[in-house]
Amino acid sequence: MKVKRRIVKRGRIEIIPLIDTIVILLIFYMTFSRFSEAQRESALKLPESRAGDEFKMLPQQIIVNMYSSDEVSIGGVKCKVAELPAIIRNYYANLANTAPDLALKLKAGEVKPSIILRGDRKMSYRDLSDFMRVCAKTDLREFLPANSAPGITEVTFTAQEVR
Amino acid sequence: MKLKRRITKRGRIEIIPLIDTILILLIFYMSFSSFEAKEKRIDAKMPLISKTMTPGTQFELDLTLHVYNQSNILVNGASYDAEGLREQMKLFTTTPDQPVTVIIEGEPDTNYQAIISALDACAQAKLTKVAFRPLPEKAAAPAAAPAAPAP
Repeated sequence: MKVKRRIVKRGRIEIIPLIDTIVILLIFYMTFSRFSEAQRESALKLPESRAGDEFKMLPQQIIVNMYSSDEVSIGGVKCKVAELPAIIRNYYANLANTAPDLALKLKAGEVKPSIILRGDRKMSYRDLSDFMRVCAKTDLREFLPANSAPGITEVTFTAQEVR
Repeated sequence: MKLKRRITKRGRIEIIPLIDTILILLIFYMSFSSFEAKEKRIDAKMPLISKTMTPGTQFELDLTLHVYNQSNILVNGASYDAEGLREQMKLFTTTPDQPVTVIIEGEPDTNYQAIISALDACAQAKLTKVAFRPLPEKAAAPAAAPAAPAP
């Protein structure tokens, strides 16, 4: 009896669909990496304003995304507004390891600690008031020049340009 | 002599690369269109005006904006909406000899959008010395109704 030999198909890589897929993945990661790097949450609905400068983040600034006093997020970490002082202190304490030059500039008073507040438009004044009080109470004097004010004195509010 | 006829290639549209290109362009525009609205920054120094302020801190209390909502913002007693406030604030100009300080205060349930509108009006009028008056730390709980006296 004649045994039929099984035909083995040779696998080969299709170049054109491979290039298409790589380009799509490249666009996807390029688009989203920009927003993750900036610590900005796109789900948040910012209030609208006409005035203001182009959004720019300075190296000593922390972005706080705030939906309400009970729903705040910093760098993707969810917390409550009452927990902010510990997180902010931790951030400036870690600067000595992560960005020693910046820590020295802070200590010399060349730059000031600052927060960028990205508040949701549905947030209330009660929430904003809680946030401001927490900023004023956060004691960062050990990272700042002697006789500095204890709290954070500079806050940048962000808003969406009116279309 | 026999002349050779030139062979003319018929052009045709390649459908598969066309679909690929359209898909890539579609993804690209979809991704960026959702972030089209530009984000802006309004810088503010943050002095808080409150009863618990440390002694020695002085503020020139020139102008107080009490924000109830987007259509009711009181400026030294007169009520304006967000648009009217923009026009009104332009009347106040800061000069080196006479700086204007704006205090923004609100009600507990005042919308954040209304606060930003007030801040926006100040920024448009080039009034950069802005402070916020925070609400009392704990809202006073409503007094419990007195128990009815026993007959």
